[in-house]
Order: sequence, then structure tokens, then C-alpha cells
Amino acid sequence: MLGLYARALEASHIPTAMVTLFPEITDKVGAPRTLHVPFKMGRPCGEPFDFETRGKVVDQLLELLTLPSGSREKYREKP
Amino acid sequence: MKMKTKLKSKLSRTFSSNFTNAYQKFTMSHMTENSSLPEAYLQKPLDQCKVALVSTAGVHLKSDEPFDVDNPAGDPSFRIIPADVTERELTVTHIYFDTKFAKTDPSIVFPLQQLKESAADGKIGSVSGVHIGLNGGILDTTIAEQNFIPKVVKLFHNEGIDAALLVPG
Repeated sequence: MLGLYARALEASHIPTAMVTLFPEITDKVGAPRTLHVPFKMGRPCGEPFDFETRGKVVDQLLELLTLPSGSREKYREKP
Repeated sequence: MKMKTKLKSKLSRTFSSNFTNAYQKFTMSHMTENSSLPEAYLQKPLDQCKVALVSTAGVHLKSDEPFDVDNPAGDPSFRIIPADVTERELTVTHIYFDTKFAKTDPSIVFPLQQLKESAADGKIGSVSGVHIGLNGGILDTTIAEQNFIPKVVKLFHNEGIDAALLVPG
């Protein structure tokens, strides 16, 4: 359902950047910009209290906003 | 939460964590493929943009009505989360992943604090006053598409939101 939100927001001229745990799924639904993270379900931004990783996820999502629709990025441990 | 829902949750979580590929295939088989890709561009530099979060991890205010996880069709409604909320005021209602981690530290599904830090560091212009909590795991998305998604899109335009970060459960 999140991919549908991404598509609707983009169609209304609001760009989106989305975390994905399953790129095959988000590619199929056509999420415009995705960041593939190596984390577990229920922990899409890393482990509890690992704020350093969380900051990197948010930074990389923000960076993704500036890239064209169709961008497929992978989470980088070292930016 | 009904006993039946608890059992469904346990079964689903066991399935998805032990048979991740099968879980992906199951989800894939219930989705419509979209070949076209909508494309929006930032209308201003990122450091001037107002940014909002959208989560499908079932995040909501403790004072709000929880998502209806007993409904077999899922709960397609949304909850508004104000930016000035503290993490202690948040909780998570979801049956398709183990919520104990997100209840310990909601930022693992809803990185609002980190978004605020991005604003403080000048990476973005500002944090939106409103954010959206949703409950994922809905196979038939018709009601969401017809009713709730257009409402959120309208809300984002009314709030002057320039970009959104989307986080799954």
C-alpha cells in the first residue's frame, strides 16, 4: 500500500523517497524512488537505539529525493 | 485484539520470517503491476523543503484509536501524527511483524527525531507539522485508493508539504 501512496503523491507533484525491504515488490508496484535496506521486517530503519544507522537512512532518503523518478538505491553503511 | 487475530499474527510472522521468499511471492501475487512511473521533481532546493513522513508500520498516538487489526480485510484508514509528539506518546499496532522492537524505540519505523535533526542541520527547510501513520498488509487496496489516499494527498497540499519520506513496517 505504501507504494500506492508514493505513486499518488508523485502524480500530484510531491516527490517521495521510500525505504524498501523487498525491492521486487516495490519495483512491481512501481514505487518511484526506493532505498533498499538490509534490515529485518519491522525494523526498516535498523535496530532499536542504533540512531547512527537511523540518521544514515534518513540522509540517504533525502539524497534520493533529489534523484530522478525510477532511481533504485542501496543503503550504504559508509556514505 | 481477538484471540483469532493473535493466532493469525503469530502464524503470519512465523511464515514471513522463516520463509521470506515464499512470503514475497505471496505478496507479489496479490499486487497489480504498474509499468508506468509517475515523476515529480522538487520544486525548490532540498534545504528549503518541508518534509513529511508516511509509515505503514501501524504507528499512531497512544491517545488515538488503534488500527482495527481484527478486520480480516485490514484497516485502510490513516492516523495523523503531529510533529511535536514525543516518542513516549507513540505506539504501534500491526499484526504482520513483531512490534516489540518498534514499541521499544518507535524511531525504527518512524524516524521523526532524525528528520528533525536534518532540519536542525539545515539539510531540509523544515519538518512538516503533520505526519501519517498507516497499517500495512492490506491485500485489497480499493478502499485506500478511492477514499484515504486522495485525502492524504489533499492534506499534504494544504499543509504545503514539498516532499515525503515513506517507511514500511
